[in-house]
Order: sequence, then C-alpha cells, then structure tokens
Amino acid sequence: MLEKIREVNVKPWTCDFEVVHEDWLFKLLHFKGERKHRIPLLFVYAFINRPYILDLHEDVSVVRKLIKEGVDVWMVDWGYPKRADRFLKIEDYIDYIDFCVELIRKECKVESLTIHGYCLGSTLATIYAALHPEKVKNLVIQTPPLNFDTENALALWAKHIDPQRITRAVGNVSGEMLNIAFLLIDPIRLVLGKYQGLIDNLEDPRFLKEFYSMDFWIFDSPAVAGNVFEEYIDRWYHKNEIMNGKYTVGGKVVDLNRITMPVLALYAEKDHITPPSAVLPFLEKIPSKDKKAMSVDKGHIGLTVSKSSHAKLWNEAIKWIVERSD
Amino acid sequence: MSSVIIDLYKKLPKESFELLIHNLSVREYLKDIWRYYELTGNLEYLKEFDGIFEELFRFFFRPFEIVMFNERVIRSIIPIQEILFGREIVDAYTDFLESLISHMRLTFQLFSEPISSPKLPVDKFLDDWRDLLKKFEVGGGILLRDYPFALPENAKNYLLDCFSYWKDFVESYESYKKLIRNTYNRAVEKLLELSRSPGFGSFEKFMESFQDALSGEFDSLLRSEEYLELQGKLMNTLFDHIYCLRRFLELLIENNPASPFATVSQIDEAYKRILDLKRKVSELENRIEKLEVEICSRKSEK
Repeated sequence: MLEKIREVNVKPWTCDFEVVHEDWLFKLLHFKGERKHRIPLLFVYAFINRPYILDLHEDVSVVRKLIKEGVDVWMVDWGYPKRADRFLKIEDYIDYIDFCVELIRKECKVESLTIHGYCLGSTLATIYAALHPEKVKNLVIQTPPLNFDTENALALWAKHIDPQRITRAVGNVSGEMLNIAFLLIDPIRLVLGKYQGLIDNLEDPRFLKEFYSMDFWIFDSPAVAGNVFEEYIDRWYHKNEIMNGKYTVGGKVVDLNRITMPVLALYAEKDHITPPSAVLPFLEKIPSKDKKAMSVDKGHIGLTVSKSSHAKLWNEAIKWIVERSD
Repeated sequence: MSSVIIDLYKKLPKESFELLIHNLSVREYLKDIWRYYELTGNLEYLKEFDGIFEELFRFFFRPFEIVMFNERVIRSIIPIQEILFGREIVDAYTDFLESLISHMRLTFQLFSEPISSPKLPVDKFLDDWRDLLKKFEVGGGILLRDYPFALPENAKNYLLDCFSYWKDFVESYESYKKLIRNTYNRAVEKLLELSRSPGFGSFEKFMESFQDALSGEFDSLLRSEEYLELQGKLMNTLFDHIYCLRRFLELLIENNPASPFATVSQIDEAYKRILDLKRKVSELENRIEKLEVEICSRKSEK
C-alpha cells in the first residue's frame, strides 16, 4: 500500500539561479531569464520555512511565471540559523535587504525596484520600504502579518508566551518546535484530516507528488534565531509596534506614512496564520494612492501553491507587477 | 512491508512519516468502529476511541516529550554522580566534611546538655536536603546527596529552582492532559449522538462527522482562556526548568579548574561579541565607501 510513496521524487527549485552573494548565513539568489522589463523584483522571504515554496514545482511556480513575463527575479535566502546566529537581530535582516537592494540597483542600473515580501518577509519588506521608500518602486506583500493584534489561534498563543524564557533556555527556537506548534494550531485538519486524505490517495502518483512536495517543504524548517524570536513575539505580537508606529530599526522609527509607493496585498480568506485582519487595517492606514488587495478563498499556503490561485490570482498579480515594471 | 516502512522512515521528514503511520492506525480503528456500527446499527464508546486518542493526541505532548528526551540524553552524557564519585578531591572533601561534622557534634555535645539534644544544624540540614532530593526523585547521586556544600555558589539555587519548576510543570502537565482528554471525550460524545440521529449512511460520512465533531471541540479549546493559561504555564515552567538545569551543569563545569570544556553560555558570549564586531566592521566599511565616493566627487569637481 505504501510502495508508491517510496517512488515519489521530490526536488524543489525548478528554475535555475546563481548565488550572487553570501554573507555567513544569508544569500542573494539571481534567477536566470530574459529581462524584458526595466524594474527588477526582489523576493524577501520569511525567516520561517524555506523560500522554494515560490518555486515548488513547475505547475505552481510563482518564480517561473514572473520569469516567463520577463521580470528579472532576485531572492533573499535567510538560511538555517545555528547557535552562532542566536544574537542576530531583525535589524541585521533589514541591513541585508538594503545590501541586496544596493547591489541590484548597481547591477541593473535602476534607482528602485519591486520588493515582494512573503509572510514574515512581507513584514521585513514593509519595514524596509518605510525606511527607504526612495529605493522601492513597488511593494508586494503576500499573506503579510502586519497587524499582529488579531484573534486567530496563532496570535492568541503568541500573546500568551514569554519569548525571553524560551530563548534563555534553548537559544534558538528550533524548526522542530515550530513544526509542532504550527501543527497544533489547527490539529484536526493538519494532524488527522490531511493524512486521512493521503491514505485515500495512496495509489495516485500525481497526488503523492504534490502532497510530498508540500510536506517536504512544510517540515524543512530552519530555526529562528533567539533574538529575532524575542523581537518577533514581544515587539510585533505583544506590542504590535509596527502598526502603532513604535517600531524602530537602528534608532529610526518605521513610519508607515512613508509607504507612498504602489502596494499590492495578496491575502487568503481562510488563512489561519495571517488572517485578512492581519493586513486590511494596514492597507487602510498607509497613504499610498495606488494600493490594491487581491484575495483567494484558500489558506495561508494554498494562496501560493493551489492551482486555482495560479489560474486566477497569480495571473492578475503578475499583470499588476508587470504594468509597474517599466 | 517492513522494508518499505524503514525506507519511508529514512526518506520522509520525520513528522510526515510519523503522522502517516499514526493515521494508518487511526484508519484501522475507524474501520473497526464502523464495522461495529454497521453490524449493530448503534454506536457506543468503544475501546478503539481510546486507541485513536493515543495515536493522534501524542502530538499535543510532543514538545514536552522532546524536552524530556533531551534531558535524559544530557544525563546519560554527563553522569555527574559517577564522574565525581571516583575523584580523589571529592573523597578528600568527604573526609573533611565527615571530620567536620564529627568535630561539630563533639563540640556541641561538650557544650550542651542533655546529650540527647535535637540534631545538629548540619545533620538537620543534610536530612532535609536528602528528603528534598528524594521528593524530586534524585536518589543515588552521591554528589547531590552527600555534598551540598561542594556545589558552586549559584549552582545550588539553580538546582533547587530546577526541581521546583519541574514540580510545577508536572502538576500543570496533568491538568493539560486532562483538558485534552475531556475535549476529545466531548467530541466522541457528539459523534455518538449523531449516530443515533440521523446516522451516517457511509464510512466517508462517518469519518467526516468524526472530524467535524473533533474540529468543533478543539477549535474552541485552543482559543479558550483555560487552555491558553495552562499552555503558557507549561511552557514557562518547562523552559525555566531547562534553563536552571543547564545553568546548574554549566556552573559545575565553569567552577571546576580541571574542566577542559567551555559552556554554552561562554560560547554564546563569544558569538555575541563576534556579531557585534561584525556589525561595527560593516558600519565602518559603509562609512569608508561613502568617504571614497565623496573624495572622488571632490576630485572630479576640481
């Protein structure tokens, strides 16, 4: 009954890329493709999970779609933090985004570029855009947690934990801990329903390939650096500092009033990690005159990898990006 | 079959593999329940429901299992009692402590009447200390049992806190288990009600009803103040316990002049300084770059 699973071959990354810069832990990737539009796009992925979800397999690759449209695609890879990275700060992540933006500006001879954040990468991208609006031509935020004062289970759990007590005990928060936490936020669906569905499809090679492409990604979880975890829980979840205009990076206040560039928000109606209420108040708050929200009736990951999202939302989203890339 | 299972254990992410095999067992239990329902036209609380609980809900206890597993690994790597028991210095300290106790006992006897007076403070302390260790099931450790004065200054407090957090954790853990179990029982109760009216019709419908009943109960549980409070307490006591245990072990190493090991806290401090230096270097590089640009533009202006 289980033989067919043994035959499943999961290989993430379908597009070719080059690692153009490496800084200890962080990397900048540049995808190969024909550049038809002037403005390049930089993906800023989350520091939880791995960025290849955007290029998981050929049918649902956001990266492939962008390259096909002639967009020059770059991506930050935050790597797998080790004990030595425990004292990284969110500020270090923002500094590396700036380093990458500078490198791309020089390389592509442009003043500004499109920054596309994914999940917590959207939070980083937004912080960066507020600090350096002159370098951000367009801001795309995908399933973004920006308003952390929400009522979903993850937010309630985060508000009830003391991050300092966790990190002083374990240093970094391991991927294993995060995996279990994410499973238990929606246990019946993720622990029971999903795998009962798998048992019903054990003879279907296509189902197995898609299922395991996702499962390998889901459980390929880097640790979160201790300091970063503290900031993330304390300053974002407990104090909601970004929305309250209190968040600072290197002494500079992250002022959302500086988000005047075009903004596209992609969110999922059934997202149990970053519900619509995590982004809609942000969109209302920013002064950008060119802002748009697109949603799908899917969950947090479904927005990125479901075929229905690719059939509709991604076509529209990429059109929006392309129209602003010259 | 068994070689396939081992191959999958090797190939799949461990959580994915574990979830698959637990769910295969759950499916067997569900089929048994369904067969019973089909035969009798009735559903009651069968032992298979306990089996499902055991298979699935261990994930709720997994973070704690991992921590306990890790602690056992540490204890097996650092068998503190055995290491220290054979040491001459500890033996010498034992002799010193015993002679001190004996000396104090004699002195006390000389100056106090009657001779059958209460125990000496040292004896009293050692008795209490041993009782405390027994309470926390730290039996057999010669170091902890007999050498409380040999512990470095703060180590004793970390050790006592470590025990205390563990006690709090165990208490909360029992309540947590009960809470999860009661929630599960409520969901099964709902399913049993559904079986009476309107019934299930098919195995698929039965599975769907079971999942719906569980989802309903667990969704409300996971957002309830009771759950959030208990989960928070469990995490705090558990992580505090780990921290205190680690600091206790670290202090034993840090205060031992013969120890060839650096501790995690010492290495962390080095990592912190290296990262701070890296930030300073990067800031200086940026300043130099800006200055070079400025100098170049001034030169070109001239």
